[in-house]
Amino acid sequence: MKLSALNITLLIIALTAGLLANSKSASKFLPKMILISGGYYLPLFKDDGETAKEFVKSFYLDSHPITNAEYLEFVKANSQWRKSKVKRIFADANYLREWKGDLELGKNVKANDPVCNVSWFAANAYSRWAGKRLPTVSEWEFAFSKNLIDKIEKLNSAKTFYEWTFDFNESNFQASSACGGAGSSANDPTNYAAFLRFSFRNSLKPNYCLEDLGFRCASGIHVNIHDKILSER
Amino acid sequence: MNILKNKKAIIGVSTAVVLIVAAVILMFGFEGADSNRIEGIEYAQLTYAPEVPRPITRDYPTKVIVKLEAIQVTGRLADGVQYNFWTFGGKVPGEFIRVREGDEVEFHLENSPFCNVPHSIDLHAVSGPGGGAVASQTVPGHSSVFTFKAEHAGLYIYHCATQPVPLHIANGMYGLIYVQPKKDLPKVDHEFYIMQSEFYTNGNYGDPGLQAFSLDKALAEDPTYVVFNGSVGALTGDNAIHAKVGQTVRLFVGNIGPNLTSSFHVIGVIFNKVYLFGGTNVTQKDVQTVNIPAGGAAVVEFKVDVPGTYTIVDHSIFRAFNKGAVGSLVVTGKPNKEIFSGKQQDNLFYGSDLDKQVQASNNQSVSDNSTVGNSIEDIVAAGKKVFSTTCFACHQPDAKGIAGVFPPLAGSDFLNANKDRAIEIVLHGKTGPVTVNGKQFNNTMPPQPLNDEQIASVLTYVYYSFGNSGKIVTKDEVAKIRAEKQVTLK
Repeated sequence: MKLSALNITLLIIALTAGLLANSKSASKFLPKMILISGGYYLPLFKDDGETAKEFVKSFYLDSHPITNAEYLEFVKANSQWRKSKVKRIFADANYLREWKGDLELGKNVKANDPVCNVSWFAANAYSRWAGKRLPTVSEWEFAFSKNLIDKIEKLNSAKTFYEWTFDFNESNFQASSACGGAGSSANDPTNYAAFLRFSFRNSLKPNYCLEDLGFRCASGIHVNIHDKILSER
Repeated sequence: MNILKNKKAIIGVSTAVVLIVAAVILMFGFEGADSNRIEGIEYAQLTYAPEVPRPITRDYPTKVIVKLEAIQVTGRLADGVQYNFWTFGGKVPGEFIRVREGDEVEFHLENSPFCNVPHSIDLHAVSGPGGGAVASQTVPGHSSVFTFKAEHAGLYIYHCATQPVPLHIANGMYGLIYVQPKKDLPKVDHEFYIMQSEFYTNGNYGDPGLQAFSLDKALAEDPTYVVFNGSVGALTGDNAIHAKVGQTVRLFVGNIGPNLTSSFHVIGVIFNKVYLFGGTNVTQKDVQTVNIPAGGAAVVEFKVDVPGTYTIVDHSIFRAFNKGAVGSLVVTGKPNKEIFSGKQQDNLFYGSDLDKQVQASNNQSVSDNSTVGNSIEDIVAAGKKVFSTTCFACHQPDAKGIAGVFPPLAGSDFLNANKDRAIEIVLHGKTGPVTVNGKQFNNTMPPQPLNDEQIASVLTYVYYSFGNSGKIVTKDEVAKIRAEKQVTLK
């Protein structure tokens, strides 16, 4: 994976935040992670000049999307992410809409349901606090194609549940989104489920907070993110 | 005199000046009235099918606000059949939008917070990337606004253009927008909105319950349902459209597909005018059926002169009969016998010569595959079967005929004298007097609808039986005589 200057900056911030967070022992609230062994997968879109299949390195992925209870620990430790304090530039007015208060879920929100109405900024901050990061689109799609995260469909079976990814709007999807255009650049134009996910991701802005959108965290195969940065430099 | 002359000249000149100025003012004045300057603001009239918003009467462009909400609804696709429709405005098709050429359209797309996918809109009336698709990309619980100039008059499709676009269309996200020309089409008594579309379900046509979208059928372009206005029966029965005898009707027809081209037809109606593809010119007069491509439209006009129910179909007719593409136009009023009489006679009909030839020809075709054995016993046995199903009724089972009515075949001198004549009589019949064994008969024998093989075998059977001369009649002999008087049927 190539790291842009921005990404390195983000990871350094993540590192710092992660170290700070570790000191507050966030880990005891964190979900179990599963090892996703690397391999090839067929991305929905092919880039010019590249082979259809893409290699995804081994990584760890949370076994389930972050729950309301887990997210509550994050806002307890990080007051700037509380409902009443968050800046609109980082999260729109729907942020944690169903929560009763800053530190109170209320009776309509189940502690073990995935947290929703969280922005990309919030999901990213949580990941850093947890010493992790958001999975990339490739990682998420790869794990999904291996049926390793099929749980997401079952958690909220009435509606499709989506998850934030680190690079949610970086694909060339938008450029080719007019009418039938997208089909011709796709590796498998009959994969309508993937089109739905890509189209959802590409309609998002990072401060959006939506009913059906949560997240889970990933980390490199080196559990220590500091090592990861060093190894990739 | 001079002064007078000058006065006249002055008056003449000033009159000319006044006239010129007036003309200039008039010219500029007209241009001003016909300018593209936007005046005022209003909400667009929106109607659900089959209604069409009333004609716009203002003669200047204005700013028009259009608001559509993308919303997902479980509804009726056919009796006992439900589908999770994705809609603009809660129904399929979406609301009919009417604006005027030159209007500035401020388009608001709201995506219901209860939707679980983003939606957008591509209006074919828009000149610009994606017809507004990218500008209107909207996640659930958000709304988007963009503005376009309705520069091109005509009837246009709109549809959702969020990926995967075919799924959004197949689930019901489409409608029509009519950009009324500055000079609107001639006034008619009724305008109606009809939208043809397909649905692809896992179950077969009519399978009850909530039906899921079938990607396989959609890819094969093999719809389970082809419907007008969103469901089977949305344009029939209580939902039929109505007119009175002598009235003029204009249909704004769209076809979204997503796959099929429509052969739009109203049974018993000739379209007086067709604005093909939804354009603004009358492209053809007196038309029976109009092709409407997927993602296209047409405007058709006609006058109804005779009361009754007129069936609206996709004349790719299995879609009408088996997949739901049927609507009704009910016309009430006094009958007009001069234009259409109704049924005047009901008589019996026994078939024509053509029928007999067709029957013989059909049997001939069958015989090409028949396998009567080659031995004389086989031929006689086959002939006996023919005799006892065809000939015996008149000539009697013992072939002795009926005295004075039907001549005998048993020991018949007439028969034994001429084999070719016998073949010809079986083939083509015989009317008039004959003398058989010294007795006169005067009757009619019709041509027999038998094939060559059947005639050969039945004659051979008769010649071999009843004390006759034991001749053999072959298929080829029959064919030769048939060929002499053959009538080719195409």
